[in-house]
Amino acid sequence: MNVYLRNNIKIIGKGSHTVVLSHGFGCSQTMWRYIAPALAKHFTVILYDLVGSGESSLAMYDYQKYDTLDGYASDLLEIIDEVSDGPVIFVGHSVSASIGLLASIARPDLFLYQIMVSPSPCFINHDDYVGGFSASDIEQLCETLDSNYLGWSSSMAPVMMGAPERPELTEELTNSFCRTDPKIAQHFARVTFFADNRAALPQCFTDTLILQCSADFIAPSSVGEYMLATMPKAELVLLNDDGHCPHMSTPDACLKAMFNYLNKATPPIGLRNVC
Amino acid sequence: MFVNTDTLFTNAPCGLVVCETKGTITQANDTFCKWLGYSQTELIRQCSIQSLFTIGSRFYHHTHWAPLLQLQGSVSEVLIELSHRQGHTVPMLVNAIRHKTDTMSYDYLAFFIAADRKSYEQELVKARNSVEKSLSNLRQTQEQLKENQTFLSVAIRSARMGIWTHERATNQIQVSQELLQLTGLTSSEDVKYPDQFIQLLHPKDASEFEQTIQRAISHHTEFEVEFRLKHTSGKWLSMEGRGHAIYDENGTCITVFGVFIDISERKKAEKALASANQQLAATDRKKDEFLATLGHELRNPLAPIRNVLEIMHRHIEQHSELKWYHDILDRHVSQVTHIVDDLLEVTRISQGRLELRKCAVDVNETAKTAIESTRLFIEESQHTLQVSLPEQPVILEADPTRMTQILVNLLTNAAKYTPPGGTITLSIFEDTDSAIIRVTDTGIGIPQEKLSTIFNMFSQLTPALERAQGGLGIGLALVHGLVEMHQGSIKAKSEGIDLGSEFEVRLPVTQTQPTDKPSEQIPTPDSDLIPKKILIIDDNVDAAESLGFLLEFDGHTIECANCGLDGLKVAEDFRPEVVLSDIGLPDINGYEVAKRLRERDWAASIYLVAITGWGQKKDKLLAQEAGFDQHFTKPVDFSELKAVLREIE
Repeated sequence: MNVYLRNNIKIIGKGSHTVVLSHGFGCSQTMWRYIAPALAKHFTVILYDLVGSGESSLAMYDYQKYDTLDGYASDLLEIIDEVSDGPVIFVGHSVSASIGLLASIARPDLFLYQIMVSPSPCFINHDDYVGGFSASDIEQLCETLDSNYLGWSSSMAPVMMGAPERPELTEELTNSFCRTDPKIAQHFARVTFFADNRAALPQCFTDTLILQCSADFIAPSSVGEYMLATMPKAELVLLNDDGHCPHMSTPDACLKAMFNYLNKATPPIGLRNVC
Repeated sequence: MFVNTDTLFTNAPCGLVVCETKGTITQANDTFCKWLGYSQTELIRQCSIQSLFTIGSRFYHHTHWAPLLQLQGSVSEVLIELSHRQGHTVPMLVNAIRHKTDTMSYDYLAFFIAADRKSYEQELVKARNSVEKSLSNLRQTQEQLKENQTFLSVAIRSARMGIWTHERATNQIQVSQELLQLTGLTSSEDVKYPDQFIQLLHPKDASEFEQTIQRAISHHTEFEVEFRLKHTSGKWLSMEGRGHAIYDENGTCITVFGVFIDISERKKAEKALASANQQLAATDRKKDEFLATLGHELRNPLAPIRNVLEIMHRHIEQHSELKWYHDILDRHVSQVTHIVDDLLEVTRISQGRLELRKCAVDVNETAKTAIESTRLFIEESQHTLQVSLPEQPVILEADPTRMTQILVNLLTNAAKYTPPGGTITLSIFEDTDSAIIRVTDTGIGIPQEKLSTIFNMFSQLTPALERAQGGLGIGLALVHGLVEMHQGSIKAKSEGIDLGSEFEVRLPVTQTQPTDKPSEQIPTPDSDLIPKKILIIDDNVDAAESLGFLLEFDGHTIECANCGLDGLKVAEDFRPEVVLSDIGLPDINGYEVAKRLRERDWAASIYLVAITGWGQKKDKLLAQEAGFDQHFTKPVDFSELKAVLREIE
């Protein structure tokens, strides 16, 4: 199957460099809508949905292939090969940061820079490593996910009263969240939250920017510190945000940190309009 | 009555909370505080709403709820677990909207206890999981079943089989896809009813098919039936059907189940095999006929030679130099006669034309005769013959001539295949119900691989040119045939080349005493002979004339004729007392000659002797019917003939 259809690839803007945006667990490419337009002013921006999420082809969800993040990493490499002529700037949120990590090790030639938004190589605590959670916490999360995916729950729909802030987004967003097959979501949750990619960190020689929120419940500061210490070419920028989705809650701060990093980068990135 | 809205907020039947977008609680009603076991002062401005969630729910809040609330301004019916002050969890449903003032944004949250719903949901999740599991098991089973069906179908197809069922209640036929394919039909609708199916059967097989199945139904047995089934191309398929009926508890037949197998190829092969067998049998028969004819053709010229030898013999007294010629010719003619006789005997056995004249025979006596007739040959080869015979007679129900033939052949064979100066042993003994005749030699032996074929006709070990001793390889075949005709068995043993051979014949013994052998007829001196007028009719001029000469020696008056009509003419003038007539004559046959002669007054009581090549009962009967008094088989044994002539009044 054509990767465009498989991963619901959307391309916006045009620039000499290409930025690939990859969403996190439970989301879809719509989560990038606060920062994608700004990036599109300078870059060719590629948006896509992970297989099993958003508007991707659910039929292509192969439980064996996507039983580890490597399945998603190989999809990413196919997308870059298909869509971009040269190496890309890869921006991955949460689990996608780990997918980018694995892909950049497999094919470093395809990665110019890597920006990890709220990454965590491993959510579960191991000895000295503080991922933030115990295995039973993760089990509980999976259970909550399961409850809220039951058929009668329209949990994601807006309440009847009160006007939504951006009504134009509502329907589309709800669709992209709810469309996810509960079984796939459950499987993806387990693959995401039980993953341990710490061993991959020292093998990544792509220049990497880690954007971490100051009080992220999901990826605590200990995780950012660990990554900075382990990755050979990483930089860490702490954003003043207590969420896990700074590209949504503080998109401007997020963009600023990204452009700052890219501006001083070698090799240089020709930005037309630095903010 | 109006209720104060503050009171309503405070005591509402749901937990109401206002918090900042980051989660800090700014207001919480009593219901909410009570449900979680906190006081207002402990919550307001003291903690964030997320901190009251369980870890899993907090996670969920981060990944789903918070982004959605930000994007769409509201979420509803989210199931969240909160932690009670005491530590236990309280599941609640939450609705949330984000409310914006000019300066700040607040989230209004409404909580509803969902303990029951939660447990129902859990039940539901469990039920769903279990259903999914059963479904997946079912799917797996179905897949396995499908796979097995595919395998089965492949097997059925490649075995050219098909399934056929007849539902008796609906009177409908069902055929499997494989059977449709076999018959070339496209739809099972074409053979839905028995009548339609019967139409496909060959008209000659239809009633047998129906009857066989009906029989199986009424006897509760398996059926097996062969029939021809029409392929849509018009070709007939040979089929074999096997199956059985299935009955309800009352014993009424519900369904007839059958597997039909296309046996066309098998039938074709069987037919080809049968025709090959037939051809082979025909060829074999022709070979036997040829050998029989060959034997006769060889034997016919031997008769005049033998006659001439006899004539020579009578001249030896006057011309002693003839003895040497006579003896050489006599030896060699005897040898040829022996071979030709064997050949004729073997073909007679294989054609089933050899008749045994059985009587009680003492094997000891047979052995003595055989030794006597082979002694000369064995001595010429400088062999030593060791004989061991039992003291008591060993009695068999057998044909004495054939028994002698068996022994003579075995002894000759041993002498022949043993280099000069060897030892031949003949031992006869009785073993429970069998007489055992064992002939061993110190000769050239038999290779292992030839032991099983040594009794086949013409199974010479090596081509004749390489051997000092000749032979057609008939002797052992004849022995084997004769032994079998006597319900016996023969075995050959040999340790290998040059290690000698052993032949062992086993024959069933009987308890009866031997009948007294008719004493040898003492030939009356020739002087007693009354000369007769004898007419010889034979198209073999040499045979007729030489026999004539011989008879003239005895004082008879002879006339010869070489065809039937000529014979009749000569007879009319000659008025013979005895007529010796060949049967196969160029014009009218010997039977006709006899008939016509008997019609004449003068010939009504003359003595007619038929001479035939085939000494069958049938030939003798025919001869008798035609009016012959006596019957001889070629070549005529002169002494027997003389004996007969002597008898005639």
